[in-house]
Amino acid sequence: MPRAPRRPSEETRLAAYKPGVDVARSRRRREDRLLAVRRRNRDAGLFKCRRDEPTPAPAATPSQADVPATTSPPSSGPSSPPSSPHAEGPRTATDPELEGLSEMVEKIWSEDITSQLEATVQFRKLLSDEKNSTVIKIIRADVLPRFADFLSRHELPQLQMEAAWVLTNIAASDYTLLVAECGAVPRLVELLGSPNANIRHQATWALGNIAADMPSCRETVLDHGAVTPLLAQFREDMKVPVLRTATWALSNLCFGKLPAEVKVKPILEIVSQLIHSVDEKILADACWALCYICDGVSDGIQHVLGAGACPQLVNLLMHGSVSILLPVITALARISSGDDAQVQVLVENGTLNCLAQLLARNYPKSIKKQACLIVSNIATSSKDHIQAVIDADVISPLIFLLKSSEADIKQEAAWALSNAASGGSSDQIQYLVSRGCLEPLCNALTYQDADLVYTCLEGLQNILEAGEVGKQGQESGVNPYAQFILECGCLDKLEDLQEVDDDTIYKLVMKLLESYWEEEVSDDPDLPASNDSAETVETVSEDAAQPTEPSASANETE
Amino acid sequence: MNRGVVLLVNMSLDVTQVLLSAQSADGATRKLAEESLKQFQEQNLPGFLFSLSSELANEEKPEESRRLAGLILKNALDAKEQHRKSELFQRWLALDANVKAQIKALLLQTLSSPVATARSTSSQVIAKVAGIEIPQKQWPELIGSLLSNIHQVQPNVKQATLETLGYLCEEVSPEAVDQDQVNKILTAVVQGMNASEGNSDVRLAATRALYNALGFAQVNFSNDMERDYIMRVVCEATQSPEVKIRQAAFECLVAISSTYYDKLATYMQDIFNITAKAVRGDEESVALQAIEFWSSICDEEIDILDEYSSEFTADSDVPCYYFIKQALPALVPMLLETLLKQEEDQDLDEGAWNLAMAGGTCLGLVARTVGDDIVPLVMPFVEENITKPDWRHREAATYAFGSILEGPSADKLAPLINVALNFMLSALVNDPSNHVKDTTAWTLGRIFEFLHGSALETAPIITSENCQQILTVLLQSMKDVPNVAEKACGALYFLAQGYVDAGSASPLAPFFQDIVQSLLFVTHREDAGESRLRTAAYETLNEVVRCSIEETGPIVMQLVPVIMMELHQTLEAGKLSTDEREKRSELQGLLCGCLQVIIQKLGGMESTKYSFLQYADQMMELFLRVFACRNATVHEEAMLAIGALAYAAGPNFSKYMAQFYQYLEMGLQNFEEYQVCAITVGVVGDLCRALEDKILPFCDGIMTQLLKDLSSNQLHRSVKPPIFSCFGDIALAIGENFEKYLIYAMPMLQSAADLSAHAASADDELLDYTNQLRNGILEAYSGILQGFKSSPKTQLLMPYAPHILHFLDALYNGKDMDDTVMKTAIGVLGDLADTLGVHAGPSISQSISSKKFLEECLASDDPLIKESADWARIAISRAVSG
Repeated sequence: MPRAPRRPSEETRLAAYKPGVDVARSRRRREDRLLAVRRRNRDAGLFKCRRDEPTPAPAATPSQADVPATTSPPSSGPSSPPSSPHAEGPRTATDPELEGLSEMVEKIWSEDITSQLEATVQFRKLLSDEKNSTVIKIIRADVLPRFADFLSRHELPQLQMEAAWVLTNIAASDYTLLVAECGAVPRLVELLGSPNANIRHQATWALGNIAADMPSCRETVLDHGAVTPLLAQFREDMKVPVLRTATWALSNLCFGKLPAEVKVKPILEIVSQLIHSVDEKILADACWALCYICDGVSDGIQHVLGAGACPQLVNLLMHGSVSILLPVITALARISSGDDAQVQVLVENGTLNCLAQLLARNYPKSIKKQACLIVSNIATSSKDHIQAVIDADVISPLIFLLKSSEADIKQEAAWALSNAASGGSSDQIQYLVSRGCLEPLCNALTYQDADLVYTCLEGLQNILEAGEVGKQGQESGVNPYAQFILECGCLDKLEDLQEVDDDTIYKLVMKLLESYWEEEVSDDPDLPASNDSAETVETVSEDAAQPTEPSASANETE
Repeated sequence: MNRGVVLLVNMSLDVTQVLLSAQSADGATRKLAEESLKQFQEQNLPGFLFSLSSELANEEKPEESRRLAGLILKNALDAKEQHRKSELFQRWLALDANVKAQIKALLLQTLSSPVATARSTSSQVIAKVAGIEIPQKQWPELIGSLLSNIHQVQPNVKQATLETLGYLCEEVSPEAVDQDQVNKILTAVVQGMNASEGNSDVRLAATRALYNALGFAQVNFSNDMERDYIMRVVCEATQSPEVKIRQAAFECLVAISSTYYDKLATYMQDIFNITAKAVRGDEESVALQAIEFWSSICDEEIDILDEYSSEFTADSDVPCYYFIKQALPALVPMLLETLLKQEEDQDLDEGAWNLAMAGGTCLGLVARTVGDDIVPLVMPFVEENITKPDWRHREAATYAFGSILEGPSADKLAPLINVALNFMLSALVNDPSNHVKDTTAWTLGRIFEFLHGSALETAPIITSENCQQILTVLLQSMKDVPNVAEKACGALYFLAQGYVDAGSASPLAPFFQDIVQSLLFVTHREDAGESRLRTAAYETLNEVVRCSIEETGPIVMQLVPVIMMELHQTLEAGKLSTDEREKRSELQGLLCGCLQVIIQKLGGMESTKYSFLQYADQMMELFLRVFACRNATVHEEAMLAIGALAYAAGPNFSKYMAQFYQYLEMGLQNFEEYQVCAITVGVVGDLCRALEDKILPFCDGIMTQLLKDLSSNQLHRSVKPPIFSCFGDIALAIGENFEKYLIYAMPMLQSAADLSAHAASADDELLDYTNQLRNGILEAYSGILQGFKSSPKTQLLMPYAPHILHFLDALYNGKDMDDTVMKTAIGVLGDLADTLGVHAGPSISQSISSKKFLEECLASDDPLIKESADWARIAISRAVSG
């Protein structure tokens, strides 16, 4: 039977000529990948539901009269025998291909210790090839509770070890929740006290995997009191791989809000030692733990400072690796959002000197932004702190960033500078101006962020006020700063702000224009009046970022 | 008195004048004329069609008005869009028989017109009418009366009639025409093609008609004598003095090669000689078709060999005759010669298609067909030419080498590539010809695509030693002219792809930052709009990110604000021209696609999963703004990105819902751009899984829209199965709260189930769709059943159980479900038992599904089906035993 003619056209051949990156195909593949994820997640969701045993459906109440009478009454009752020869229960898969598996399952459930161990090892090997479908099969066979049982077989450490290993692997898959809920967690916590070091390591690993999943899993681990025995793992003679696992697990546990009954102090005692480690993995996880604690515990910042972690965190600012630098600087940014006394600790430990060096180097944007954020938070608190910023010579790199970097870094740098300018004394102002801050500050007036613009304006106001004082020393009687702004052409930017639909900005701009450049602007008849739209705009500006709030909010768990 | 005439008398419209005005240069006049034509058509269709056919037939009228009359007539009979098409068919069939008879008579009469355009237009209209009527067994005398024209002496009548027969074969399917009539048509057509036909217009029309009639000739091609005759006439026509006839004859050969591949064995030697002569000496349009013949034979043999090696069939309906393998020693040199006939700058001209391009394409197909055997035939050519001073030789050598990289085994190619790689790298930097560099970069890409990656068993061609050099060259080439840079991006794309499973051993990791920076640099090149360079750079960036390893996660993280800033900037642009807007949309689509890949990457790695979410707010804000720009592709990309973001953010995504919801609804309402609708439906599913019961406040709106979508006959059918699946997602997320939607959703599911239970069609495509629909329905049932499990309202589902069981039984009895449906269906059986428990036990144990169907699934080779079945068995045993 001949097939339909294909008639390949010139276009299809042309499309196949020296194809480069095929956009349509790439797009389709992207979509397919998302579809595959979707299919997997749908199956996993359904599967999770199917795993839950149904609670006995309550008998139909008389009120449910709308249910038609076709419903067969459960008359057969428990006496009717199962119709299928297979239907003895969940553990008897007898199909040819599953034979190996069903045999393994039988062994697991047997009372023979050798069989149990043998099958557990087989399961562990099966799981090591990391295929989800294998995991599913094993879980479908309802064996998880059995492995949980094995964890308690203290007379058989090898069985404990293998069972913990199996559970570790499953917990690393999409089915963590099942491990968290199969009764294994309390036993794993118990195993943290095992005399066998390998078993302790394996249990740590399993718990770390469980805690790394969704909040409810982490809570299960915390509820079973894992923290104290986990902290007991940290001993002088620990091997590096074990220490890595333990640090990683600990940082997973610290993520999010810690329950009130968990004591932070002992955790911090350990972590503040770990941040002196030379191993980068340990160091990174320990720093992330600090980061999480700043956020996840009430008074977290104070706890972290109390544990004496600050000097080392500041030292680590000079670490070469970005993977360390990111948690370190994020933690410091958190601290910088604290109260004045807490910020003072940062200042005393020389944070600013390190930041000045760091800002001058070429680091990734995320790090530069956090650095600017810290400076800006420090510059908000007091004149002393502004002086510290000046003394550390952070201003020059900030101004450089303002001129040269990407827009979002610019924005952070502008915050730092305008905070300093708006709170600075007249000497400090003079210094800032001498470093060339006027022009970039004026340039920042064109940003979309209304809060930032307002702070810049406040900074300018403060500078201009200081200029009034300087004016008395000048023969010309001219405010030098107002003059400078006029000469560098920045006055236009101020004038443009009259068009902005924001009442507070409008008022301040008008005030500045009238106070310092009355002659230049008074002859402009087209000044728009403050209008009604101001109200609607205020709601918009409420959403804009606040200057003192750290921007990295990865750990905000409700 | 006949009605059509009455209506005509009432029309005072001067049709000729209106038709001429409708072609006026003056816009207003034209518009007015079009309006009155439209009005005429709406108010009096029979009169309208009759006037047009009279106009077309009237020799007194100007050529322009006749031509347009025919064109409008044609458009009143057919449309591209299926819906409209069947509407027009119905209207024609409903017309008064007398009117139709008059129109048809006028059309046939026009075939004898001395005016060529009138004849040609008329023959197209006749074919359209035939396309409607012949399947209905109407107009049985048409073919007879056309064939009687053939015997007329006048060549223009003959020509028009042959043309009509050709169009007719294009419009009508072969089943609708009796074999007896087919024989007559073919006889007439082949006679017209014969060298004895003195008029070349007639001969050309006949040759073109044969092209369309080939699909009717199955019986005739099975008969040796008839086939020999047709083949002889076609081959003779390839030698005609008229170039158009030669080209049309080769087009016939191409069509024959795919339609009657298995009947060609005895003619292959002759055909080779004919094609070789044409490739070497004929005009390009003819030579291109001659090459196309061999490409087409390759296509056939590749398909057959694929089926041979496929694990499902392990055989093919048609045996492979290995024509290419036999022709190889002569075919390859002929193709290699063509490679030297490049045009200057053909790589800069998007529409260019010439002998060298066609020859190289064919060579690539030959390599895929015969594998290793081609290598010794091509390599001497490569070695001889690759260092010659003339760029044409170097380019041809490189192109030949690049073309044979897919097909031959890695064992055969690896030693050659190990030698060639350094040469290629140096040529890519140093060759003075852009054309050579373009082809070299493409060849490198082919090397990486086919001979690099963890799946290969040979020793790796790219090692940690030469990887750095390769990268240096590629990154440098990305600064070259746009067409070369685009190919260099492509090479990098495949290089990265090959390391997708490399883990921390990926040798790209140390250079990751440089690679990303270089690609970003390319996207910002002023000339990135040429040769699709920008697009290639972004897609390559996506692939590089997708295949990256955990250790470079922080660098990917740094990319987030960069790409977001780019997207932000596209949104800030002021007033744009249409052209600029289009470019902006394209860029936005690329950026959203890039973010989508990044979200999936960072959201999927432990080390970045949480820290990455710091950008979620800003990202959502951008996506929401993107939705404000109306463009389907951008919507799709942004939607997909949001789906990915929802998975990464989980329940926290709920904070965006209030703002996002309006766009979700907009997407669900987008019938015209149905892909947007389909993707949005999928995203609803993503949201259900991410938000779980937090989706509840939005469900009324979503369900209303989904139900509307299902009831619409405007919406493309492919969206409907995912909508059903989406019901399941929603029910699973909100549990018993789905109660209020049951009275709407269940009847929809039931009627769709009834419709899809019996596909009753041999059409593969339709069966495929039916199975998708079944799967969607079943997923909905599973979701709803599991969603209600353990709820006091479980009883509400009892009334639906009999129908669901009935559906499952029907599917089993139908025997045409695919594996996916089987898996889902047996799962639903388990869900019924699981949720309804002892209440449904008796009806389940009475069903066929619980016996034969379940047993069959338990014995399935497909592990997924078996898993589902295992579970169902357990659930049923619980339900039955209470």
